[in-house]
Amino acid sequence: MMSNSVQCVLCPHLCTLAPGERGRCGVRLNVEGELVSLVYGRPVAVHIDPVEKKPLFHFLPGIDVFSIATAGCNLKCEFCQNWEISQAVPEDMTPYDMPPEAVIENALDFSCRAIAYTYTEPVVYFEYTRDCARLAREAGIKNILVTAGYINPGPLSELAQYIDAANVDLKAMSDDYYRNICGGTLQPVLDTITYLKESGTWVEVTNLVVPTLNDDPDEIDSLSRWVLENTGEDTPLHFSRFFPMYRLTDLPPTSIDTLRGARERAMEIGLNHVYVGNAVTQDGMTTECPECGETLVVRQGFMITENNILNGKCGNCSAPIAGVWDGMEEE
Amino acid sequence: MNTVLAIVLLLAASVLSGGDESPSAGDITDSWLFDIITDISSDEERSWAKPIKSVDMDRMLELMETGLLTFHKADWFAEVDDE
Repeated sequence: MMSNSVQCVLCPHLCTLAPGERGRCGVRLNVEGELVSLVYGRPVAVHIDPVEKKPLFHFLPGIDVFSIATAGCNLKCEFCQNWEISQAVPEDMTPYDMPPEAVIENALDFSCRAIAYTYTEPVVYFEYTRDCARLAREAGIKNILVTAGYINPGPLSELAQYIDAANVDLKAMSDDYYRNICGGTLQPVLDTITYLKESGTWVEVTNLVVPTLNDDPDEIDSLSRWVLENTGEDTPLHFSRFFPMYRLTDLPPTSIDTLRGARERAMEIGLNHVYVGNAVTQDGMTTECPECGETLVVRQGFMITENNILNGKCGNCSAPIAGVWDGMEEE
Repeated sequence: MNTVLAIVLLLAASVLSGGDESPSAGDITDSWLFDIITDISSDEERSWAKPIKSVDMDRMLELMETGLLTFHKADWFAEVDDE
């Protein structure tokens, strides 16, 4: 006998919901035995950002990205840097009325070459992300997913076919960390990263380095080694600076020395492109050729001040540089 | 362990279904698969996750009518059989 209860199988929480209950994401509600999205076409954040802000450093540098987010997230990270919208319920927000067609129209009007589903968690607004991405693909606009990767394989495979690039937040290499700090589990995130990589999406990985919680050198090594062994030496890894936020206001910002140290360790382990984010450093923002060491892309904040990559190759030694670059697609 | 099994089943479902269309309760033909997923995952404790909460449905309906919320049919869910 059916009870009008439903089970959402979008993410690994697998919430079972009685009528009138919503999932852990806060935006998927059981209405009389049917699951509905409360946020389809209702973004609460709409901005135009440089692609470097996602961060994506090896994907069409310098392009403008039409960036959207609805309320909601299926994790509850105590350090969330966007908690005002990610941890909010949609009825407490004032959204834009922006159906997928309007997203594409706006992106074209503002000459954005990509649309990013970002700021909160695009997994929880799955249907909106997918429909926007499908239309964007038809219009020749790239799709960028900025995600914590907490999604089941079926929905991920449906979405991934439209996604050109992704930055996946790998918060730590510890399942306890995911459970205690983030309200999730580790393995589905690792599975998402490897799936996206294998399915041909350009993938970069971000790790927010939080003082005392995940900044131990062994933890940094473990994470860097996993990225190397499972996604290859050319996957860019961004160590991002934590600022006191949300429920972790008693911790200090990550020191620049810690971030530099993390970068050095990851490069010693064998990763070719390791960056420092949310902090102004010269070497941590610059792309170098792994073959000849030539400086290729110099960034000041989110601005590109120098780009010596020609058709995807080092301007000095012609070694191919991993990523998606202008001029490559025409080859 | 149960979640892992559920995920394996979901992956299998996505492959078997051809990948392009989302399964939602209205058009699932392989409901046995979702019954299994429901059975193996419904009793799992998730004290570390955000709690599931009831909403004020009258308010939600009101906000939906004003356009501030949508009741857009979601994909990727299964009906739960109490028996």
